[in-house]
Order: sequence, then C-alpha cells, then structure tokens
Amino acid sequence: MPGSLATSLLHRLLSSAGLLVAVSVVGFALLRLMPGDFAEVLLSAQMDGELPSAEALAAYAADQGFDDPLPLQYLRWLGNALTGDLGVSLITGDAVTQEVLLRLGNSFILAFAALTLSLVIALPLALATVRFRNGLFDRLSAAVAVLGMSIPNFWYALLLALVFSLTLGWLPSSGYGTWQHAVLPTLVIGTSVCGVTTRYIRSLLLDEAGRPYMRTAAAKGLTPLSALLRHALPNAAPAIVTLAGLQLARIFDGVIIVETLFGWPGIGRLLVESLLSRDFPLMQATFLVIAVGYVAINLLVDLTVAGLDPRVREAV
Amino acid sequence: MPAGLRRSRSDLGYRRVVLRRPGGVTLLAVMFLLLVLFGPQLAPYDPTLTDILNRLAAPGWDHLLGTDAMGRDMLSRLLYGARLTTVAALAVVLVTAAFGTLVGLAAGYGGGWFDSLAMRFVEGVSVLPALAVSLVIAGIFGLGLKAVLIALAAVHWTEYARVVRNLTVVERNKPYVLAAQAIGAPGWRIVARHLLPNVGGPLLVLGAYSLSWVILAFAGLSFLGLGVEPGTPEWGRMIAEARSHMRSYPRLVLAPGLSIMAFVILINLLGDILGDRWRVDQVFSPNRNQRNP
Amino acid sequence: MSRPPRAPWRRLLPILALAAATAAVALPDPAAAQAERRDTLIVGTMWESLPLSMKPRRSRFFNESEILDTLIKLDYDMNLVPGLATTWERTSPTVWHLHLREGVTFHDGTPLDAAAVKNSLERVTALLPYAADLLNIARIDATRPLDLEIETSEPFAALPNQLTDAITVVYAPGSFDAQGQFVTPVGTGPWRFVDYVKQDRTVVERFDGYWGNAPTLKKVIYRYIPDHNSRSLALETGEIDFATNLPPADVERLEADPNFKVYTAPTAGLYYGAFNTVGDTPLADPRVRLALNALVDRDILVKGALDGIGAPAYEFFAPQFPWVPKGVEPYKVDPAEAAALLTQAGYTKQDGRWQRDGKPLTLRILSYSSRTEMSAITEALAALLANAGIASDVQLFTWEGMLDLVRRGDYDISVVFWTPEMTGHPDLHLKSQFHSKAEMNFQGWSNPAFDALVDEGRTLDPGAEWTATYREALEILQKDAPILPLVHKVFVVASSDDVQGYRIHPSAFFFDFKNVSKSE
Repeated sequence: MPGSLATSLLHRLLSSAGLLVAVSVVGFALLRLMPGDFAEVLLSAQMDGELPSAEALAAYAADQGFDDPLPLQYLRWLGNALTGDLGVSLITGDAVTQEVLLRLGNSFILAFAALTLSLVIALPLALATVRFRNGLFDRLSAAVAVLGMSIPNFWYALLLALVFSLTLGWLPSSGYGTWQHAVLPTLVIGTSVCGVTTRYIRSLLLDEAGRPYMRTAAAKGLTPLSALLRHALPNAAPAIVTLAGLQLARIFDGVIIVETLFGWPGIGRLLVESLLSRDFPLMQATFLVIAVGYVAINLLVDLTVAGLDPRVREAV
Repeated sequence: MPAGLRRSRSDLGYRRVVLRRPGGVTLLAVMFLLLVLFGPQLAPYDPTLTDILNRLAAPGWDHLLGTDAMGRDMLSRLLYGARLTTVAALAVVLVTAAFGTLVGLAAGYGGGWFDSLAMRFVEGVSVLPALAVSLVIAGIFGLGLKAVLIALAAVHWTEYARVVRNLTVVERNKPYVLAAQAIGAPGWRIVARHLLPNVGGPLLVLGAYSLSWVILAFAGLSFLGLGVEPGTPEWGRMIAEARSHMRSYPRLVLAPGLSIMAFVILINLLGDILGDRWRVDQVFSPNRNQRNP
Repeated sequence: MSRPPRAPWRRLLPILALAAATAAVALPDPAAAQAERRDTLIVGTMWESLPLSMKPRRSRFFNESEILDTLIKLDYDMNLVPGLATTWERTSPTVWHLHLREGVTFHDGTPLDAAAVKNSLERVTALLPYAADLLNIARIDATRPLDLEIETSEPFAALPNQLTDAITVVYAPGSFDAQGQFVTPVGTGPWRFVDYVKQDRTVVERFDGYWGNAPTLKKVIYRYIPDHNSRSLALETGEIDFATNLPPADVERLEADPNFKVYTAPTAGLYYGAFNTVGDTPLADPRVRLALNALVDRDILVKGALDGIGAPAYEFFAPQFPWVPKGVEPYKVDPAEAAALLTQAGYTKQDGRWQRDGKPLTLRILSYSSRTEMSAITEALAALLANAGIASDVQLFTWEGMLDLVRRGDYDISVVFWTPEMTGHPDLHLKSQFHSKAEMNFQGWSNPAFDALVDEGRTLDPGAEWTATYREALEILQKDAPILPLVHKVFVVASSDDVQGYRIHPSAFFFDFKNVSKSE
C-alpha cells in the first residue's frame, strides 16, 4: 500500500530528525560542561592566554549573550551551527568548520574502503560457508571471526605496518596523498572486521536457506550455489545493508586508532588531538560532525532497506 | 504444574554448564581465572620497580621474560596487567549490565511510553561509533582512569538494555507469565522471579562478549594515552610505551599484545560455548529493526 | 527450464583488465621522477610547519628552514655573525645602529632596505606580544636607505643576541595584507615558500636571487609525521631522506646500518621540571624543591629514558657554552641531604613513603607527548621519585593542553623543554621565563634579587661585571630551585647515507640545508 510507504518513510525521517535534535542538545551541552568558567576560557584563548579582567569578561559575556537563558543560547548556537559556524579553535583561533568537514571526508574514505574490503571478503566466504556447511570454510570463517574480534587493532596495525612497509616495502608507512597511503589503514580495519561480518552474513543466509522457497528452487533443478545467489542473497540483501550500516560504526572506531598510527588526516585523529589539547570547541565540533554524519548514514541505510524490500516497509 | 512455571533459576543449571563441558576451553578459563586472581602473588617482582642498569635484558633465569626499557620485569607486569585489565573491565561490565538490565526489563515488561522512549534512546546511541562517543565523554571528565571507566560504561549499557528488552518482550507473552499475572502476582515479583532467570542465560553470553569488547576498548584508549598513567602495567599502555624499542626488542610489544589476544579469544570462546548452551543466535541478530522478534 | 547462470566472475574479467591497463598508464615516468628526487630533500618533522601562520612556536620554522633571515646570525661556534645586518654598534646606552647588507632582494623582487626592516620589526612586535617583551624596542628609525636606528626602552646590551632569535626574522612588506595581518612568508632566504598541504607537507624551492651561497638542492619538502616511530620508519623505508627528532631508541640500530647516517651533537636545550611555586602545593616550600633536586639521579634518568643520549643536567645552562659564567655550584645527588630537607619541611618517612599529616606526599606531574622524548623522561622521573618514596600522578597532553592546566595552576611539576642557550646570551630565558613579571612565568616564582640582577645584566656589555652579575643570578636560581633541571639536549637526527654536508647547528634551530647535497 503506497500510503504505508509514505508513513513509514515519514516515521524514519522524524526519527532521524529527533536524533539530530538530541545530538545537537548534547553537543551544545558539551561546551558548557567544560571545566573552568566557559566564558573566561573562550576570551582568554582569544587574548593569547592572558587572563581577562573582570570588566572585560563581563563585557564579553554580555556581548556574546552568555547571560541569556539557556534555551535562547541553544537556539542561537543552533542557528550558527546550521549556517556553518561551528565555533573557533582555542588553539589556533581559526574557525573549525571547514577543517572538520574536510577531515570527516578523509575518515569516510577510509571507513567506506574498509567496509567495501570487508564485504568483498565476507560475501564470498559466507556463501562458501553456507554452501559447504560444517566444512573447512565454516571452521575457517569462525576462526577468522574470533581472531578479528580478539586482536587489538592498534597492535595489528603495528605488525602490518612493519611487514608491508618495512620488510616488503610495498606500501608507505604513513601519510596521505596517493591511493597507496590508504591501503595499509584500509587493510588493517577491513581484515579485522571481515570475520565477524562473514559470520553475520552467514547466519542471515542460513535463515534464508531454511525457507520453503529454497526447497522449491532445488526442486526446480537449481544447484545449491545458484539457489543461494539468485534467491537467498537478494532476499537477505536488506538485512545485509542494515548490517553494513551497523558495521560502519564499528569500523569507525578502528579508523580512529588507525589514523593516529598512520598519520591519516582524518577526524578521528583530530578528535584525539582536541582532547589532549583541551580544545573544547574543536572537540564539540568533531563530535557534532561525526554524530550528524552517522545519523545521516543510518537514515540512508534505512531508506535503502525500505527501497529494497517491500516487506520491510510494512514493519517500519 | 504448567510447564512454564517450572522454569525457575535452578533448572537453568548454570553450574552444569561448566561441569558438563570439561573441554580444553573451560580448563583454560579456570586457569586464567586463577591467574587473574592470584597472578600478582605469583609475580616475582614489583611491576613498578625500575632497575635502569638492567634495562632491556633478554629473557633469562633472573627475569623469565626479560625486562623493559626501564628495567622492570616483564612477567610481573603482564601478571599485574591481567588483573588490572580484568578488574577495570569487570567494573564496567557489571555496572552496565545492572543498569542496562534494569532499563531493559522495565521497558520490555512495562511497555508503553517508557519502552518507546528507552528504545529510541538506545537506538540513537547504537547508531553512533562507540569509541568516538566515549572519547568525548572521557575528554570532559579529564582523561584519567575514572573518566575512561565512566565513558565506557555510558556508551555500553545500551547493549544490555536492548537485548534484555527484546528478550523480555518475548517472554512477557508466554503462558507462564500470563498465568502468574492471572494469579495476581505483582509486576516486580514476576520480573524478579520469572523473567530475570530466563534472561539470565543470554545475559551471561552477552556479558562474555561485552567483557571482551570492554577489554579491547580499554586497551585501545590506554594506547591512545587516556586512562591509566604512563608506567602503569596495563597491556595497552605497555604496547604504546614499548613502540620506540619495538624494532630492536619486539618481544616488548609482542608479549602484551599476545596476552590481550589470548585473553580475549578465551572469553569469546567462552561466550560461544555459553551461546550454544542457550541457543542465543537471535539475540545477536544483525537485524535490529525487530520490534517483535 | 532455465540454465544455471554463467559464473558471475567471468563478467568481471573485462573490468579487471581495464583497471590494470589504466593503472599501467597512470604510473609516472620513472626516469624523470628519479632526477627530481635527487635534487629534492624530503625531511620528516615532528611538528607541522604551519607556514601560513606567524604564531606557532614563535615562527621558528621560517628561520630553521631559512625562508627568512634574521638580521644577525650565529655561526657554528655560537658567535654573532652578520646576517642581513653587516655591522651593529651601540651608540648610546639605549640606541643601537645597524647597517644593512647591500644588494639583497626579497623573494618577490622588492629590495631589502631599512624601511622594509622597520616595517617587519614593527609588524612582528605588534602581532606577537612575546616579541615586544623580547626586544624592548621603543623606536625604530630608517635613518638612511640601509641604516637602521633602534632605540630600546631601557639600556639593552643584549639586543644583537635577541636579533638572532627566530621571532625577529625579516618579512617583506608583501608578507602582510592591507590590514597588517600576516599572509604568507616572503623573505630573503635561500629557500622560497612554494606550497603547503595542510596536515601533510610544506614545500620550499631554491631561490636563485639569494645574497649568499646558493643551495645545491632544488627543493626541500618538509613532511609532517607526528608519530615519532612512524617518522623513523619512514626514513628506513626511503619515504623521507632526513628524520628530525629521532627517537633515542633508534640511534644504535641506525648507526649500525650502513644505509643511514646518524648525527648527534650537544646543542642548546634543557629538559626540566618546572615547579609550581605558589598556592596549595608541596613545592611552595623551597626545601622540598631542593630535596627533589638532591633525590633525582639524572645519570640514571638519561640512561633509562633516553638510552644514554643526553647529558645529565644539574644546573641550568649547559656548561659547554663558553659564555656561561663558571663557578655556580651544580646540584648533587645526596639522598641523606634530601631526607634531611624533607624532614625539615615537616615530612616523615613511613613504610618507605614520605608523608605529612597522614597524607602521602603526592606530586601532580604534567607533560606533553608531542615531543619525542617527553613521555619517557616524565615516566622515568616518576619512577625515580617512586623509588625514593614520593608518589606521583602523571598525565600527558599536547603542549597546548598541558599549558591550559599549567596556567590554572593545576599542577605541581610540568616537564618541559626549552632552548635557553639559543641566542648565545643568558638574557633570553632568564628574562622571559623566570623574571617575576615575565608573561611566560607560569610558575609564580618571584625573587626580587633575581629580577634586579637580570634587569641589570641586560644593560651590561660582556666583561667582568657582566659575568659576576649573571653568576650571582644563576646562584640564586640554584639555591631557590624553581626548577628541576633534568637533561641537557643532545640533538639527534638521521639521514639516508646519500645526504652529504649536513652539520648540527648548536642553536638547535637551524637546518642550514643550503650546504647539503645528495651524492649518487
């Protein structure tokens, strides 16, 4: 029914909007939770570290509207944020928006590359596992999954860097600029999550494989592999897309670590630096941008899933 | 007696899991538990005692795994690290499990607006990358050990809430619960005596996977420089500090890394065994859009 | 009846072939690339060069990389030599007269003259408060096209030394916009600023109109590799030719490797623990500060934290510099003396731990991990204190993060690194960090006698009185112990073995790449 599709889409959009509002409130609160007098810290940073006099502080606070009621301050801040003003770094004094967005893009390059790599490995492996149940592939994928879930990714990154950069000399050890620079970070993250991804896809396929239509397909003369490819996989597609969305969040955690080790100028590294520099406005901006990015991805995943599977439209 | 009402705590037989599955994994698990509890007593040296003139010593009878760059005994540091990591991770897991279960039970049993609100919140949190959010929280609280523990707990409790809530929703409509309601048993009693034991099994499984996640997250954060102080015998921190000597003395990085890996693999395998016992594949289904699983 | 579908991977073959062909075409021409590589030096740096900003670390990069020149320079023996100024003379206690070099042009073609230098100095002192403090300039006049007269606000004999400081590099008028804000570095140096990729690299190219010896190399690329281990790894993989601030742990290994050269030399620089001397801190008591100085064995610290690469520091200035006044008594490691001092201060040792009123003596130690050695030094310090029964609470941030806490007084010891000997004159650090009125005095240390001596010292010409004044000031520094000197810097860099002609400059902030070439 077309009506319910519209309703469910609306539902999803409202949900995401609500999430965005929640994220923005948290983001706004972050800066206020900063230790020390919030206004003094901001003014002092502008004055190159000097402590402002009481009158200067009062004037500044009045000028910036810090004496207004909080909801009003929030709305003002929200207005600024929506027009692209995410504040100014305490360290450099520059506006952060452009930098933060650029870095987010860099991180997403790694994240999507890693996701693609993990899917490229996981899909065939999962298919093989389901096709040859309880065979070598099953045990292999289980082992790889456990390894991937258990290995500390920073340690794994160190080892891979040594092997591929130093010993083999195939890849640059750090930096940014050519596609080769992205290979090691992508390899680290992609291979560490591919095991779990394989097991998840495997369980999804197994669910599908147990359904009556698969027996029908076999009766029709399809080989088990063809049946999987032509029926089970497309039917599992919505769930796989949902899984990919979830994995992207997991992957991002790996991106943060890997960026620090490989000198990739992404937002994960910026976040860590802002923490260690106590640059709270920058921290706030990176949090906001990451959160909004992920809400957007989540919405995209939901819409794609809705588009792919008529049955889901009802349930949503 | 109706079949459902027989499902009381003793029937689930937690103890039987361990005893009926003597296999290698359980044995190792017991050994590791002993190591964690008594490791520091077994440690030959104080893990923070520096002996600079004896730094970077190769493994020998004096120091079974050699010494690090400050002359501290590696074996002792690994043993103390086991306890430190486990205690910190357990603290987080217990707190998050308790809080998350409470919320999950209340949401699943009570339903209504609380359920919707709680689940929306949980969904919202699960959309965001956990490490990123915990970094931000840790940053507000000062980057120390307390900050890190608070941050990890704040991000992780939603896992329990979601799982418990889904399980509760399934159990809520079962005959034994409806029967108990018909008898007139108060809500909290139903939850405590009937629902809680039935989610106990999957909860334990989740606890195992959750513990392994927290251990890795904690190690990752200490590697980045948050949480524990420099010099603390914590595995993640040890790897970070040994990096500069990694090329000439790789064992300084390999030993703590392998320890983390072995520990976490063990816990994950334990989780798998428990998972088989309670057949909880659906608990971890990737399709999180299940409102009515 | 349907046929089984063709294996899906067969459909991918043409796509794969196309991808391979594209890759082969897109690869750069190896021969041309190699030639360019021979004329280019790639340097891995610890901090980002930030060439489009004047503020960071007092625009040190512009001087280090020689995009800009200072009026006066220091040679390899730390003697003052002509830079953009050929002579300098003190015509009255507060007036200096400088004669500028002839025939010098900026990178944008404009000539160097007194007006340009006046403009540059005025912009610098206006935009950077620290510079105003350092130079003390009341008035600058361009008396003739190549002659400059500088009047200082008080008698200032140390001005020529301050004019070797990186902050005083001479910017062309074209470096600033109409509002007087800094835009881009246009200077007189042998290297011209060409490109900057944020978070990645800064590129400079040879300036053929340079007034001195033109460089052999055509290009220098400064690559930002903040992770210290990745930086030395990049050297070993050949991604960079030159790694600065090499981790001490890599020295032995690289020295043994014939493919690399390691350069080590003592330079200006001191790692020290700055004490918080005011407020609710155990270190407000000078006896506790002296006790710490008697407890910490710097020889062990250098071995443990720096693999022996550094000189244990028991006094403020490194003794190898000839201008350092002799006769100041350095600290001695004396646990008995330390114990006596702590007891006098009201502490007792119970179960191996120092405590007072039932509370253990615990010190909050801060430092920053953005510099290679800080983390190891701080850890070693904490370990040595722990062995002596003093607990500590260590936290590492970035430089800015630590500074934030230090400014609030939320610390007991902050482990830092400065280069006090950089200008070849004691005034630089004594005035800008230890003077009670100094802007960068975050320790709250105030000693009127010391202030008076430092104020006096900067008016004196080198001689017996100068030496005596500064000796007295240093003695106060030792006795009142506002800091815990730890390690005198031994500068460590490494290059691949085809790099020729590099020499470490004792000021520690001057690469002098114009003398560097690459052999076949």
